[in-house]
Amino acid sequence: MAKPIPSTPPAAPPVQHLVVRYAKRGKMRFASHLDVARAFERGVRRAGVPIAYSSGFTPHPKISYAGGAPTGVASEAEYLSLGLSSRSDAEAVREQLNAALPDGIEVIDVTDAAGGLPTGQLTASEWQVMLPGLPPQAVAPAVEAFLALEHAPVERLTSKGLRRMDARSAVVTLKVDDDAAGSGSTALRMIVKHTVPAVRPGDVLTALREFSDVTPDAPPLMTRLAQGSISESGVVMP
Amino acid sequence: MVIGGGHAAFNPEPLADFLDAVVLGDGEEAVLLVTSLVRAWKQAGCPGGRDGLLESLAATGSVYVPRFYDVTYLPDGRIGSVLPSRPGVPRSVRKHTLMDLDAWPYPKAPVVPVAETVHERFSVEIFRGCTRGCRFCQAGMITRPVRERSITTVGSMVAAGVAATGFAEVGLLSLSSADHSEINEIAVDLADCYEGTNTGLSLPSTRVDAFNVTLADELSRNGRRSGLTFAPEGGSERMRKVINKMVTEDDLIRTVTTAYSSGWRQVKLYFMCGLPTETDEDVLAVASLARRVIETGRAATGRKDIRCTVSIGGFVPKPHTPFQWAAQCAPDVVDARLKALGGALRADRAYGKSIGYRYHEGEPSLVEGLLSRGDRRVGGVILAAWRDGARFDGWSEYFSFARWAAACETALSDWPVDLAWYTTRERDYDEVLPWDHLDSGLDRDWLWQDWQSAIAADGAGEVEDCRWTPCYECGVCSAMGTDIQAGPTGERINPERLLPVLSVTGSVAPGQGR
Repeated sequence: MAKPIPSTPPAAPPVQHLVVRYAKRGKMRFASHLDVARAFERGVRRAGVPIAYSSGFTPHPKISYAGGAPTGVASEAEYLSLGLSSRSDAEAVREQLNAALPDGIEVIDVTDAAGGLPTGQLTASEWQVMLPGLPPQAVAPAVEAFLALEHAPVERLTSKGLRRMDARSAVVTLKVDDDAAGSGSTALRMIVKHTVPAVRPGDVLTALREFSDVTPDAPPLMTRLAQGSISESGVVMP
Repeated sequence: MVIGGGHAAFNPEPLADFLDAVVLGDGEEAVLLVTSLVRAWKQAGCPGGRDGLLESLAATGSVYVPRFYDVTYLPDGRIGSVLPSRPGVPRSVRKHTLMDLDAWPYPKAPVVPVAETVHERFSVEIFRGCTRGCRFCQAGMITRPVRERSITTVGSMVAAGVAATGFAEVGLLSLSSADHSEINEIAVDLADCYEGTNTGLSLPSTRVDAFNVTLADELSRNGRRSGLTFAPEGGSERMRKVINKMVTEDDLIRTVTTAYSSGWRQVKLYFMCGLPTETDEDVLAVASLARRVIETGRAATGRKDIRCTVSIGGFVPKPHTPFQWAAQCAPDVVDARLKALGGALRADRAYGKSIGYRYHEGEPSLVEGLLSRGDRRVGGVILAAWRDGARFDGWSEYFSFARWAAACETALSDWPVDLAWYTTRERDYDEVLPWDHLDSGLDRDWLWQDWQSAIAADGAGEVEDCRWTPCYECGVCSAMGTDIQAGPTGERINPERLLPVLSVTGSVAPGQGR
């Protein structure tokens, strides 16, 4: 059988790559990664950013995404890259995108990056997990016990079925953040390595429940604070 | 206040118990009329309470207030009369007609949900109304006359809408979009404007005999090809004559050949089953039509990977159409014909894999028929079904025919009528129909003559489109004081004037493009 031939000539490769760091806040944390991606595609069109397209029957805008925060989790450090068909000023693109994107998505930083998405430098994330109604003294012993472990196997149902992962070995640091939460609540801070399958802050909570009931009054509020590579001072963003 | 509107409002009787008021016809101006009356009533201190407001709405003559009408019934169950129950309420309620669509270029900036929606595109209504005269089609009957938006208004609406929404597809909507007097110019100009921006153009409803090479080229020039769907509705030439869908088999073959030659690999064909006078052979003719489509498509392209999908469902007679008097076909007959068609489509191995087959079963259509032509007594059926747990009945996994049948049994037990009486029973000229007091402008006698002409023993008569032939006096324009509004205007969409929103390939400077 003959292969269908696209009627349009192949698209020119992008002349410039911009790496975008953006935040997902408020109600937008309930938008799935696909929804956010669609909102970005429309935002890029509304903003008039000269996005490049792929070739073929169904040309797609050249936008690549680094692993997105899970649905329900807010973020201050999501990354994507834009392939452009003509050169643009990074700061101007940032302003235009922010004018065009829906509330809850904010572009924090746009940088010119020849290599596109710096996936090699996105090896870990720092997360904050708010546990409303749980006093720190109820959580701290579980944190201590967890950190003393060598392995903490947990299970999570994913789209690919039930996956098992080691929550402990992915965790670089985990501590109760005394300053962040008000009285009667607990804020956890953790640095977690990017693994396959990914260990999420929710998986760490699951592991903590092995030691005491750290189920808060209201659902935990999770936020990705930073994404980058691990150094002695913490997560260094690219 | 619960106020209804839209096409289903042309027979709101099954919902009469649940609605305060119903607006007939176009909403743009009617909504302003209603809100001004609500405002005046509030400013006057709400005289007469809810009834006082409803009286002022009813007095306009274009807002129907069901509770202000009394319905009487004959001993055999038919309606005796529908009459106003208080002074100041008109005997019949007229539909509202918007006469200058260019003055109402809406929506301008529709809400764009973050979550995925069914149709991810910016839609512009390029005209309202249709006078092709298909006898089954309620939309074409109640929205007369044809009123076009001009090519330049369409152009500026598309430009503003795409800029505001960021959608990558534009839908040119109407009851039969390829019938716009300047559709080719619209398609060419929009494709020019959006060259290189990957903005697709789609025509969701395209008549077989109005599609052409220009449209095929322009629809596929930018962005991806959207699906192509044609609706011959009837499988045999005789059947299409009965429904006055005057497209020939050669029209269809020519059109799909154009589509396949222009790069489409798949077309969808819509049909109906259970039309008046239909026989098994009329439905089986769909199979030979589909085979001819594939055969000519293969010959035109020299390829074997072309496909067509046959989609077919049971016909439901609608109010305000020539078929409003028709008997709906029984579900078991519809199902038997659909099964036979499926067998015929699969029978020939040379074509079987190239032809997809989708169908809707007969029983849900029977409940649709009940709601379509029901009177006020059907309100009790709806309530009984709802109390029994009926929800989301449009989803087949939630639909229960047994539940609706039982609801009919209980709610109609005091009357000499039942589900079959409302659906599979043919009506006489003299019968008072539940919607006779709701005036769509159509002359009832013209509808009856057209019904008789459709089922004439010596073959159905043909009604031509009044846009291109003299008026055949359906009654709408004379009753409503309206006129056909169609081009051509001779104007073109000027890309210069639509900038800067189209400057997608240019370099970006701060502030530009928004």
